[in-house]
Amino acid sequence: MRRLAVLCCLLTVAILAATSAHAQSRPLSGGTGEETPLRPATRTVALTNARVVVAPGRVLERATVVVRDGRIVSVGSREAVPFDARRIAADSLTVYAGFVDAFSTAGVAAPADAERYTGDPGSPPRERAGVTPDRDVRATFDATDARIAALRAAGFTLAHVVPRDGLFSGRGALVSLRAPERGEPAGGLFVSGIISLVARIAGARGVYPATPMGALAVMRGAVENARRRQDARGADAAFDPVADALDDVIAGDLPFWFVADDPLTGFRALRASREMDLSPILAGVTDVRPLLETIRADRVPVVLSLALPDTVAADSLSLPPMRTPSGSLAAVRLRRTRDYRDVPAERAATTETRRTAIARADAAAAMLAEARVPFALGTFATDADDLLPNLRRLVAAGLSADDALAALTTQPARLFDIERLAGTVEEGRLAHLVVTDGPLFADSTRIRYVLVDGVVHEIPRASRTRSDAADTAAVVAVGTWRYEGPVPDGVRGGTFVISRAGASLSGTLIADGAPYALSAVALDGDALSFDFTTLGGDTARVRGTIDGDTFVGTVEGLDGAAVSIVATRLPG
Amino acid sequence: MMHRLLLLAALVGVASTAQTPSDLPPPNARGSLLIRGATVHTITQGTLERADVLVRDGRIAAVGTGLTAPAGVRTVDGTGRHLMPGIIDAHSHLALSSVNEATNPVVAEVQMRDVVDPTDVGIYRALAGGVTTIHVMHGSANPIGGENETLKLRWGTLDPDGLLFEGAPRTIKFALGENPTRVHGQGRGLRPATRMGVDQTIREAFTEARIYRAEQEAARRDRRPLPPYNRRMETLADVLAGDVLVHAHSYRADEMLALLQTFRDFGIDRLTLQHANEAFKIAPEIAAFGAGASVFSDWWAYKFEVYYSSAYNAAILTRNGVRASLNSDDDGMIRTLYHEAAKTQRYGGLTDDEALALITIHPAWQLGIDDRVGSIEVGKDADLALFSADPLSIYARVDMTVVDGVVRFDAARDGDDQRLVVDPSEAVPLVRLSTGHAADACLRDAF
Repeated sequence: MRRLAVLCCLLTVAILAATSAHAQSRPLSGGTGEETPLRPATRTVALTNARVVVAPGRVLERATVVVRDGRIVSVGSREAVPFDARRIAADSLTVYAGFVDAFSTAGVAAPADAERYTGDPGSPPRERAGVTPDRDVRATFDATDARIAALRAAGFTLAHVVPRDGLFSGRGALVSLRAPERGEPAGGLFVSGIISLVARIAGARGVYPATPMGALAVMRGAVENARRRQDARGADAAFDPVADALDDVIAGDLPFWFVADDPLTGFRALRASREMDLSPILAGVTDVRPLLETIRADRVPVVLSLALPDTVAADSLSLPPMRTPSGSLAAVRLRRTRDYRDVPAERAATTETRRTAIARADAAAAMLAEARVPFALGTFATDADDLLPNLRRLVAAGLSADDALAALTTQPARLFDIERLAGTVEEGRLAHLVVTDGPLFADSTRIRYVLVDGVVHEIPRASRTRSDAADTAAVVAVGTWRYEGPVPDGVRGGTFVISRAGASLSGTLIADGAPYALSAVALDGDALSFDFTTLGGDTARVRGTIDGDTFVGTVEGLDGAAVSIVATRLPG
Repeated sequence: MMHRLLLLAALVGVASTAQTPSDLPPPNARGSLLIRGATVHTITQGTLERADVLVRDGRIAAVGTGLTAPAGVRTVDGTGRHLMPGIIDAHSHLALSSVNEATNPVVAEVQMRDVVDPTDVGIYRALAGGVTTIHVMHGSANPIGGENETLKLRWGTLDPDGLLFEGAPRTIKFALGENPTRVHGQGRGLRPATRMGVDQTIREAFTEARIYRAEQEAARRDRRPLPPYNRRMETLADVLAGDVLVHAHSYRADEMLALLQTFRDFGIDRLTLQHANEAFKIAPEIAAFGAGASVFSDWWAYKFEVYYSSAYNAAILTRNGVRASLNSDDDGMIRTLYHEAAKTQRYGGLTDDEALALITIHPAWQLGIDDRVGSIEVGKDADLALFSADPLSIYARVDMTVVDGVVRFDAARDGDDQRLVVDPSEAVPLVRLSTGHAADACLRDAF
């Protein structure tokens, strides 16, 4: 009996030792530094008295959401707030399910420039050729990537991250968009195993296959070879990591994702998939319209890219006006046609064509929703600053708020088969929540909190946008300017240089090789003025305005009349 | 009555508005049309004055006089105009996203059909030159390039498959001489560096493919697992079996004779020599082999191996019984292939039919599609070009181009902006003023 007790004791010690050894052998990347957040004092959070959008079209008014240990434990209007909960008074706030980024390269480092390959370019190593279907995104994932915080600030809490390059790029997985806590291994952020194999029509640089047609040939060959190897299984199949990695896809156990960032690539990807007898998920197309028929017929799941084309203002093509500075003759005007932008009909037609193309891209999501084609949204190739604005553009172009929310939550959850984990604000789901101060797709609405695995992230007020900064950027006069105009002394055109010493400006004008010193050089706002003396002893006064690298103004004091001068700043 | 008037106004309005590519029917559309009273160059059955051609559902249904249009079929007045089969360009690199997979001397596994770009506005320009079928080829960087593709210019589709000439035989690009030796030999220090190296590369590839196919067949016979799959060898084995027509970029008489010998040794008999500037020196030998030749009318001296050339090349080949064609190999020249054909009347005195055959039925034969296109005969595809005057006249211009009975170019309705896809990041569409000449197009992506 005693021996048994001792044995039990020993066994327990052995197990404990083994467990701790196992724990220590796990990687601790990301979770050990000083900068790593401490674990919160409580893992229980209650959002009280909030408007809760449980799922698209299902709303609870004045409800409380309780979160514990990374899961939602209760949602309802009469839920008690647990004693240990951090209480967030969410009166007047709205709670949505966290967004799922259905295709992302956040935390996936761009490949370093490979060393110059000096071997036979016709048969490079497969890694160099981009044939890496066995590459696992989790192995190189960097949870400290700034992109992750940017995605989270836009409401994304879960992302399907994928390897970046190569024709068989590798395998993707679902990751929670938060920093690992102290002592937590980075691998703990992944909420799934491998869920995808990603293919791209991408040529390798300088080696075989260097072209899209080469990449597709290699892709087809690899798949066909893996198929034959499966058929011949049992015979002495040699070790072939590529064929092994493709087996799951061929068997239909692992979804096959094909990146296509324009409709033409989409057509190519769909045909190649058909020929390889694989069912693809198409990721990255902005305007999916030309593919709609095929997508519906073959029931191809689609992930649209949030990277919309930049908007174009109606007056985007107007040249800087040729302004007449105060004090000069109002009649003085340049009358030449500088380029097509000075022709109103050309300007209008060109701008209209572009704006139509942009509007089509914006409306692609609405068109899919109307056609009842399920789709999700992916953020790869989208500027961090554009995430929320572009979402709002989709809605402005006709996508209903419910459909937009579904594309961010329930649709990707269905696509990834994680409906029990994510996509709605319901008991048992991961505590992935977005808390806003208004309707999600209204321009004035701000995201206040984002909860990822129950960890509360307060989203700071957005810093000034780039355009604000540009508006207030100081006008710079310094530089070398090339001008056109009949000054001085009958010489048409030359250069002038403006330089700055401390607070004062000075400069020289050079015409036909002769220098003229500038005096009274002054910059007031965007108005630049200076004087110089001609060989004839007259004082010429130059007055004008700077817009970017263009200066438009007049010269007075030459032959008693004001003449026009236009200058552009030379680069460098 | 009022409604009818409105309807009529609407119809007239539609007929007279400028056409944009989005108005055009889908690529699978097959049109019906009656062209009346034109001078019809049938190519194979002489020239018919004031004849009618009836097109039904994309095929030529009748050629004769006094034909009437069935109800609902549009009639085009061809009085004073000339109708010929749509022009066929046997050598083009138009509408492709990439041309050369130049990294390996043998890339038989790549296929141009994977990189067809139906949005290339050059397609519309070629249609405006009466061209209806093009043979888009792999470049000339490698002794054995990829598989080419025969396309119909069904402008207006975004689906690259919409352009495929369904049922056209597979063809493949070979290349001899300076281009492959420059890319691999001089460029990389690899074989082939010489003309004999090119020949040896081809012979070794054929031999390897022969062994590959033999091993495959032996495995099937003995019910053993098949050896590893190799697309490069699969294609080459198909070439050896005669299932893929070879189009070999070649210039010099000696290298062409050597290739004929290599092909005899491996039992391949369908061959078209592309460029073939010195073919006039060995025309009887080419005729005896049964090979075709697709040449320029008067384009040479852009590199050393093309100095010894003659504007009489096409005529000499024709007189020696070689089925010769004239090609453009150029996105610009493709618009005026009928001028190229006319040059053979100045240099060599070919008859009208002989000259027009160089851009119609002969290239069709070289591509293995002469049962479908290349002449105006009942039952053939309704690929037609309607000219304002005799197409061999310098004053002729193309009024209308028809593919599968569908009008895809109409000079009377030529819209300003023919872009199929607008890139909103461009303020104005990028226009390439120079498309480069033949020698460059052939080596696109090679360096």
